[in-house]
Amino acid sequence: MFKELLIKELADKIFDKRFLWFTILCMFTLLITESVLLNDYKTERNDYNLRLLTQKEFIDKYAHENRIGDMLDIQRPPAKLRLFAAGISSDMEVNTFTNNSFNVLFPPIDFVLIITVIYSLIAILFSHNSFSGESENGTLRLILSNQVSRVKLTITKFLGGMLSIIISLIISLAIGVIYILMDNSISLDSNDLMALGLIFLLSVFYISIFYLVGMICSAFTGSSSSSVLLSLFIWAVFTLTIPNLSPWVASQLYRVPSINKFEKEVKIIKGIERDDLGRNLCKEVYEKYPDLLNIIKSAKDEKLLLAKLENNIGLKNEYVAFQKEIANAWDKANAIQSAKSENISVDFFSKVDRQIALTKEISCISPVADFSYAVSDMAGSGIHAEAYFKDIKKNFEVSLWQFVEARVAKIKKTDVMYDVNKYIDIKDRPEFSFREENVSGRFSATLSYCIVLLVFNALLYLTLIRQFNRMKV
Amino acid sequence: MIKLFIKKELLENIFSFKFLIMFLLMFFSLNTAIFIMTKDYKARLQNYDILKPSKNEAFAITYPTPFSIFAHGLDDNICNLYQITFGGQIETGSQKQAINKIYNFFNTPDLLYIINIILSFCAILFASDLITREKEQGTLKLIFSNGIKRPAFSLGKWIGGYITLIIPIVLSVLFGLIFFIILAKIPFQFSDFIRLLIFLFFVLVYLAGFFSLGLFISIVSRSSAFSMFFSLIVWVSLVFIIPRSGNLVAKQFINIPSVQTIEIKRSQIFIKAIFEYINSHYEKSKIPQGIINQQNDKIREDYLNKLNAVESIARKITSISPASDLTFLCTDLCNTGFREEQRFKTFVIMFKEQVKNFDSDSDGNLVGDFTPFSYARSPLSDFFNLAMMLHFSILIMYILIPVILGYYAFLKFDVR
Repeated sequence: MFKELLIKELADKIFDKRFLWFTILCMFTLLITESVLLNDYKTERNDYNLRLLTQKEFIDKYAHENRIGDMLDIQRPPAKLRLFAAGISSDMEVNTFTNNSFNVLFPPIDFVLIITVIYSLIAILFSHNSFSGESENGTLRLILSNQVSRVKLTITKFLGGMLSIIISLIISLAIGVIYILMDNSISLDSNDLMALGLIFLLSVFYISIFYLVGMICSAFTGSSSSSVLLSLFIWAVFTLTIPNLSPWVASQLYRVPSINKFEKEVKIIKGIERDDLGRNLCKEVYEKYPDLLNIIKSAKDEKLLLAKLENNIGLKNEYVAFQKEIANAWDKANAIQSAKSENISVDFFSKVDRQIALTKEISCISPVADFSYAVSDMAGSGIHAEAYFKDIKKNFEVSLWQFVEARVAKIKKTDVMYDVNKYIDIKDRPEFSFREENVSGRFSATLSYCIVLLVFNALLYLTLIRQFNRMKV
Repeated sequence: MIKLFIKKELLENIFSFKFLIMFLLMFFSLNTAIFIMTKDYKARLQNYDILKPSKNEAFAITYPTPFSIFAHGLDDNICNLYQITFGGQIETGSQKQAINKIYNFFNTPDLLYIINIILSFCAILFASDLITREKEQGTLKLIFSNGIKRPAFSLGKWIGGYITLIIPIVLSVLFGLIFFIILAKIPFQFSDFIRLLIFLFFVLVYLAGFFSLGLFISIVSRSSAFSMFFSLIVWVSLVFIIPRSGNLVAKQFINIPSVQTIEIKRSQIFIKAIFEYINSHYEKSKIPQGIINQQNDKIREDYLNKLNAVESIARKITSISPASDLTFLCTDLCNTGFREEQRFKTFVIMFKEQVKNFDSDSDGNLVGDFTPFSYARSPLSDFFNLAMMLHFSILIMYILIPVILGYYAFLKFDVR
């Protein structure tokens, strides 16, 4: 009986004309989205390669200690699976006067949007009359008079309906993936395909939540017209309202000072205040070397000074000691002010972290938020993926700076007149290479969201059984 | 007879479950949006008071407009902190989206968003079974067996249904205005209320479009289930798919570098100019301000030309959707749209031109006597232009085409 009911439910849905229409719509939308996003990815990748080349050529020609940090800004390659989840825009990392504002008003379409909006709506439209429709037709009484338990009926209705949606999802997704694979400029390795598989699984968990909502409303109201309205109301609240409100509600509940104010304060601490302190410390050094200072001032240019120093070993040693003390004075000023700004930064970012945690907690009430976080992290374009890149980047920067410092120390030994604005040859510097996190790492990052989605499913299923047991046929 | 139909429609709808659900959804969404955005506006105003430039500070920043409560648009970009540094470089401050990344996943829940998405959803859903339901219940046969003319019935249905739809919207918006804006003492002037009235007028036209579309689908559909299904497909396409595809599709036509590339080039111009200046032992002929300014201007102009071309194509594509047209109209009306952002940035560039030759300290902060940056938002008269007329015409077309097609389809409608 279980098998028959399942086949009946599946056949009902598949041979419904709406199934054909929505499968065509989703397939068409996904195909266009993937083709556009694929081109966008290729452009981004070319742009990334161009950035690397521009940086390399520039550093080879103009590297100097003073501004080496600005030159060695590590670039992040675009994530391949960004084709499925746009996630956090890479533009957000850059503060620029010339930004593309269109994305602010109209965020780009992606697979996540197709699932969160179209498929969830379809799930509701397919399930809202699961029981009420049969009750109105009188078939529910007939089915239950055949010794079929209510639990078994809910399972078959749920599985049959979900299977039909899964078939549509597989068709759409497969066409999208085949289109991507046919393009030789991108290769999806086993890691990517596994991540795609998990994204598919997450999509099923997400869609089933709304399928269950439709079924519960159907059992609760007993009327198809009321059931569809109630389920669409719940859909609108959980899909369109709660997730969008969450960051704003969190920012009201837990205030963080403005980032502009914080940046201005840090700039003053590391700028004007640092300079004042540095100059005061240097004054103390100047007072210790009055004669040397007069010699430096009287020398018309660097060459004359160098000649004087070469002729007088004592003076040269004094000059080296003087330079070292001046450098120490500035290092001290930098260290004091950096510690001050670090304190402010720690305080500011701890508040930001608390606000982000609160935002996540509020938004997790909505399955849309859980799904979006999980899929973007799985695709390598989410918050976790960004943190992963920053970790790798930080480790590389440490080794890069060690290399630069060693090179500077070597140059200083041979060049007495070295200063931070002189060219240094670092053509043999270590190269940065980045591989996206493996799928197990991504999975463990998204596990909590998967669990929340599963808990939603379990709770809704229990509610469904309770509600259906109370339903009068 | 029309009056009678309007009355029947109103009474039937107002006491329905559908009306209750929609009223709750609209009231909750609209008032939450107004409340949240009012709070956000006040916080941003405080921020502006802290950051506004004093004399000799080369900062460009403007106050947030109270209209950002209704259409937030690009107000975060407009109210960002811009600093003019050595060589006329424009340094841009970070935005809250850069630190709390979760903002990137969701839309700003302002009044415009609620209207654009949720109210259009309610409008099309509300109308999607107005005719099919009567057909399924058999009342349509009864009505027309009494010698009632179809045009009078369809007009009464449209007017009655539409009035029922806008009652909760007007009530919710009025409630929100009184409780959150007047009581919160938001500085609204008389001219601002005119702006607000135009805003509401656009909203009513927009919703009339979705209502007409829903009614048309209801006329041409065989059953309520199909009508609702197709209405929702049309809604998803017009509200989500077309507006969100525009920018991506436009980028396929014009190859535009990323902002990261532009920033790298900008940074390299500065580093190279300073490096060459220092290593030429401070030769006056190589003073770098002019070089930095000139080269930055060129990069910015090239990029902006390409960006404007992309935006122009994207605007044309997205304009097919009434949701985009409403966004363009309302953000421009509220001074938070593309037009205002471009105007503000032109003022920043003018300010940069004024201070570009000033000397700077070791951190690039300009030193000298100059008038602080000031900016006033566009007057209402600037809003009325050709682009606005075009977007408004498209909104009107979304009412006229379904109404005309629906009228003719209804004349041939089989009521059995």
